[in-house]
Amino acid sequence: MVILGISAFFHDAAAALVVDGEVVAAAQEERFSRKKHDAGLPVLAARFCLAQAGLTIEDVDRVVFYEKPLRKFERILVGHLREFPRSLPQFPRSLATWLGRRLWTKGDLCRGLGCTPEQVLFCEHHLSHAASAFLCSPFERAAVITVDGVGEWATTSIFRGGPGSDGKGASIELLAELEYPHSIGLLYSAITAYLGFEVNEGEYKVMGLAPYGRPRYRDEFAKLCTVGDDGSLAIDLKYFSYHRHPTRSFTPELERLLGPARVPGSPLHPLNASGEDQRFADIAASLQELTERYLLALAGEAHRLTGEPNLCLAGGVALNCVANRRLDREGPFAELFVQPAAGDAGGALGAALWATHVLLGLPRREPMKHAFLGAAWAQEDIVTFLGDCGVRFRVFGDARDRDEEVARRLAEGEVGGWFQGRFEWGPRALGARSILADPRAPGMRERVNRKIKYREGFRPFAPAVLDGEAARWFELDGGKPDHLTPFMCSVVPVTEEGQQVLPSVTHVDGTARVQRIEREHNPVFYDLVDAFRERTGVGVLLNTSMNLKDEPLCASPAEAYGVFVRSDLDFLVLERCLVEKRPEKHHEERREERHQWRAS
Amino acid sequence: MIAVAAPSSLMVRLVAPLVWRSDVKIAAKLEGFAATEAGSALDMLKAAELTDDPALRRLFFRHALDEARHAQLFRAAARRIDPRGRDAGGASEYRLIHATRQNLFERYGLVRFVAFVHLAELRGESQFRALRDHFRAGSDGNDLGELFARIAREERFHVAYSGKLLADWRREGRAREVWQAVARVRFTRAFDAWRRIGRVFGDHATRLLLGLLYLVLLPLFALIQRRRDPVRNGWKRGRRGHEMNTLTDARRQF
Repeated sequence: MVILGISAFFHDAAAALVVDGEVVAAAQEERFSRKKHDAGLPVLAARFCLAQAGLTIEDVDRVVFYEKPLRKFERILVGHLREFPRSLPQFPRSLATWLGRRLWTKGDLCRGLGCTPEQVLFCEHHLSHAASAFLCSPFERAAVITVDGVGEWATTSIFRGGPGSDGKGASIELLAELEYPHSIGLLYSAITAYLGFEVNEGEYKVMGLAPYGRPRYRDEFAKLCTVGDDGSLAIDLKYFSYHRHPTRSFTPELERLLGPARVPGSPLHPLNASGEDQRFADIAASLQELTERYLLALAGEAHRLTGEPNLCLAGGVALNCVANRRLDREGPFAELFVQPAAGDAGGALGAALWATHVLLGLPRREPMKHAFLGAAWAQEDIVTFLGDCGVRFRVFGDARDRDEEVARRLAEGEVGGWFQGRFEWGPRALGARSILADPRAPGMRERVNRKIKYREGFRPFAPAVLDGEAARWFELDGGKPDHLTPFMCSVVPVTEEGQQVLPSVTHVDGTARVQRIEREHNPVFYDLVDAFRERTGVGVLLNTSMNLKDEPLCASPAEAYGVFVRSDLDFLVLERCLVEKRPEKHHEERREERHQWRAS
Repeated sequence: MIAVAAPSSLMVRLVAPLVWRSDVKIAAKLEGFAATEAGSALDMLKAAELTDDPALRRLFFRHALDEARHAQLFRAAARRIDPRGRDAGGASEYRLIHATRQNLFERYGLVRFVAFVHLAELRGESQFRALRDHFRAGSDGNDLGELFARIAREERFHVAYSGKLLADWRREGRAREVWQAVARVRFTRAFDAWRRIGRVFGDHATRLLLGLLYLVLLPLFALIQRRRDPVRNGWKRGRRGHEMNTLTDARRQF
């Protein structure tokens, strides 16, 4: 049974292919189109998934779209009616978008992917999210919470996942849902916009900014929304305009409550914050505290409704690693699982898995152990590419030599690109398309932020740590199964020794968004970090995604080279090839080359 | 410089005194050039990756490195002329490095891609020569005349190799294909400009029409909606939890 899942037309379009219950490939369209958060039909990603399995669209049994377009359209129309006449600015814009494209989703899928209307199915948005978490989890039964901006109508849902009713496949039962416009995800996005960051992109920055502040706007946030004892949420809409305005998601009332909004792009220096910068950091901290408090209340309700010992979490809010950790530690559930592509991209995977196991009743396979579901490039192809291009590079005879050389360079303070195997599913670099540096070096964070990633100086970097060394550097819950850190889905405190030795990956509040590397599931990256450990005694590397600010993660060697030449990276490793920065060719040498081609 | 249709050199000569009149404007224009060159570099890198021909791959790669270097030169000049930029801090740094790929090679195929590169480089070269003359004639004090002269020289290499490729293909009996590719690029440029104008006009007309519809049709329905279906607070429970997992429901978009 071949099922292709598709998410598209909002943000983070993606495709995922499941063959007989096994996830064969999954990728976001942005990795191929190079448009960040590409929302278009993921034709390139779908083509890749099929090619990876050696299949064509004719071999696919079902193409499953991750939401119900007409139900979503109903919500849009009802929203305009409710807000009449204040929704006038938004109405022409949103209706033009829907009439122009989104109403014809089925036709678009058939035209773009080459499938037939009979192949196409639709899964509800939050059900797709729920399936993406539960059906990838190691749990046979679990409570499932999905929290994001909004799907069709639902903004927050509680499901119960378990075996299928007739013993086949799986079941996912909806128990309760909150409806638009009451949404913690939209509130988070509105405050993100208030803090001068881009919605659907800047939420990470707000999370990174929060530790620089204190939650002293608790009372003001209590006016923005009410969190019920049953985990419900009621937003006071007089502070927000996301439900009626196309571009501005908050009202002047919010600025009267919290003070003037930050001008996008204006300088922000929370490291030595004072005045306005401190106020913005405090607002971010207050928002983070509210989000955590809300998720804990929600988890309490989910536990009460389901009685299950384990929890799966999905939706954009599940990418809030700080809240995930608090939920894992303080929530009522014994274990927590978050799938690495918890946002809308993950909907593609969820839709495909839902059709496979819930709708068609195929038995569940192994839980997700790694996120390397993207495209790979063979060593020979990379050698040919670099050779044809005339790039000077070294080829290592075996991986051990390569790892020792890279470890040496990193230990000496160099920063390098690391391109290995299939690229990652989800927003995090987990050792396939990474920029790596020595976490012990003071000032390394500033260097990588400013000279390599070109992003705000206050943003932290994640450590990748060997499984066996994790407890030495980070305060993990010993003995408790940990499903979060292999996918970098949790922020944990750094131990005292860690804070002294690893300044470049320790955030201002003494925490880090750690990636724990297990050799069984990530052997290439593990061996590199192990080589670094042998040289330095520290089995930790600074690991950040191989891209520049606001660009998608690199997919191919050429894109990696594009990052290399545009940034201050010292070296680039493509499989077993090493490329170094070298001085520009002499002017005369270049002129000679040009002469060969000059038109007569 | 392949990413945008540059204005003709005559137009550049005419408007240069107006456009390049203050340090802030000069820096902003240079930043624009830097972004274009960086975007071109990404497109040329992708072309180098996708082509199977080693000779072409090397040419495209060289071209990409040239464009990346031009972007750096423009960025450095912009920063030298207006060190603070339009805003300070990380955002400004980032603006100087951001680039967008247009996936031209995938969209056009080899011959049309090379035709596009040739025509765009030809235009870019003449534009940079015009700017070289403009800055050499004045005393800008920023060495921009020399910068444009250097870059125009390198653009000639791009014009030359792309022109030679087209000429070689013509000689190999692909003259019709090359002619069609060049014609399509020229036509596409004009068509794209027309389409952009049409899109702007159509967009405004649609919004006006929908705005009118909103004001005429919606008031009555809005009233009914408010009476029948107010905003719901709190949990909604017991919605057809089992129905949503059936094939019949899965076929529905609603």
